[in-house]
Amino acid sequence: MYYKFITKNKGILIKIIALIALSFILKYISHRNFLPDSLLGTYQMYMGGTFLEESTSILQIISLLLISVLFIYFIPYEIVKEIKENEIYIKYRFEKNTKILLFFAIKNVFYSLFYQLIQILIIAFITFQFHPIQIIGGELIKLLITSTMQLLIILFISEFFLYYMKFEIGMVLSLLVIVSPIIITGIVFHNSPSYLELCKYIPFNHGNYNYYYVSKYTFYGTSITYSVFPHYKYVFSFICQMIELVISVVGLMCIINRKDLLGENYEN
Amino acid sequence: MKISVKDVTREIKGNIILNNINLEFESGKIYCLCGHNGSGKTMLLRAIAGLIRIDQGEISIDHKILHKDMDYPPEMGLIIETPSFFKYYTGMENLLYLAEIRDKISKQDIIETLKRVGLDPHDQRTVAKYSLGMKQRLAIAQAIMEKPDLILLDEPTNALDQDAIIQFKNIITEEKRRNACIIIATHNQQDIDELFDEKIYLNSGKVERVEKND
Repeated sequence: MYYKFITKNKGILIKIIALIALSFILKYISHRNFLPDSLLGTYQMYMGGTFLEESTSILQIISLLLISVLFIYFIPYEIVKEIKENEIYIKYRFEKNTKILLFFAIKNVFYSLFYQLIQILIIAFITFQFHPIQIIGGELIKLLITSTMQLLIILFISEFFLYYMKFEIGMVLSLLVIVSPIIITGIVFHNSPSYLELCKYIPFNHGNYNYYYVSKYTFYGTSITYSVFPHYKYVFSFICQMIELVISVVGLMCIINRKDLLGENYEN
Repeated sequence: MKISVKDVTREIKGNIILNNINLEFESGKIYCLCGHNGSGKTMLLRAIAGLIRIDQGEISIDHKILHKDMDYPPEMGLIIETPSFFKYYTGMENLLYLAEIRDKISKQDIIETLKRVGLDPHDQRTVAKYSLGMKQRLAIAQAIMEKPDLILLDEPTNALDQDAIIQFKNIITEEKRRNACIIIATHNQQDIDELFDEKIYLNSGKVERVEKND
């Protein structure tokens, strides 16, 4: 079954590989050819999202925008296009609208896992010459869960926008969801770092693992991750991500249920 | 199969598109929804297909109410408006994709269906290169390929030449013999007039009259 899925969707899978390669190159160049000296550090650099210090850099934001545009165009837009191109024939064949949601969900989970797997393999490849194979630690598992959840949330939310609206509007709104939390965090970090802790309450900021891990090393002495309870920050982050995921899935389900979208163009 | 349309009313942006429609449809019969543009035949077809919600009344299929007991009629084949397909797939690939959703028919069934509608199953051209008539034939093929109990066709003879219309008549007759319930909406029924068991004339969203063919 997986072989069939891969051969049928090889176009998207090749695009994903190209996109990951581009994001790695951009990250590598923007960090002035710096390569972390630990496996976890490399994973954080390439998969952990934007660093707190990077949130204030316009070049980093542009780089993130470029990758996000390609990501949305290559994956959620392709999935939505597939449904939209002959929506009527597909809709009634699924019989229940929940099956269309399942169709979206299966593809999203598959592409997210594929995306993560390729990243892991590339990182393993580029760090292999420096480090022996290391046992995956707890931090790495947290990072993988957080970033996979973030991918799923972005996929469902952008599918919601792209399914309901025109491509251009859907793309802009999806980009806003991805980039605006980082821009807001950057502005707060740059202008009033004492309020930085509040940034953890910004929706869609919780999937940024680096905000929750690396930010405690900031020279400003403030941290997004502050908590008096051990591990609380991850529990909080995970719960917030779960809520965001549920909201995005329910949103997509509501849009799929709007059958009247097809009824507006009646004969005159 | 028995379809009951009871007191169905639908309004869009202040216009009453369907006005208190009451009709019944049975298996093994071919129905024609006739009327001018804007008479409501396409909307009625869409309402029966479950693609739009109705404001009043109910549509039931074998005593199961649409949108309450089911989202769409089970076992339905449908053509609505301009046929749309994946442009960069061949006709065969398009049908294979759709067939995979229900996974009820084999590749051989699809090949035979394509032959029935006069398309070459081995044609490697993508749908983007198809003529309008070929797209219409492909739309008919997707509607009948899974041997559905209910076939709803909106202007199925659009863009078909005389040979294709003869082929279409044969297909519909075979589907009737298979005991399918077939509802065809058309504003130009002369070409296929002899097919119909019942003709339902719609005007401004109302049933004007029903003619039975003996």
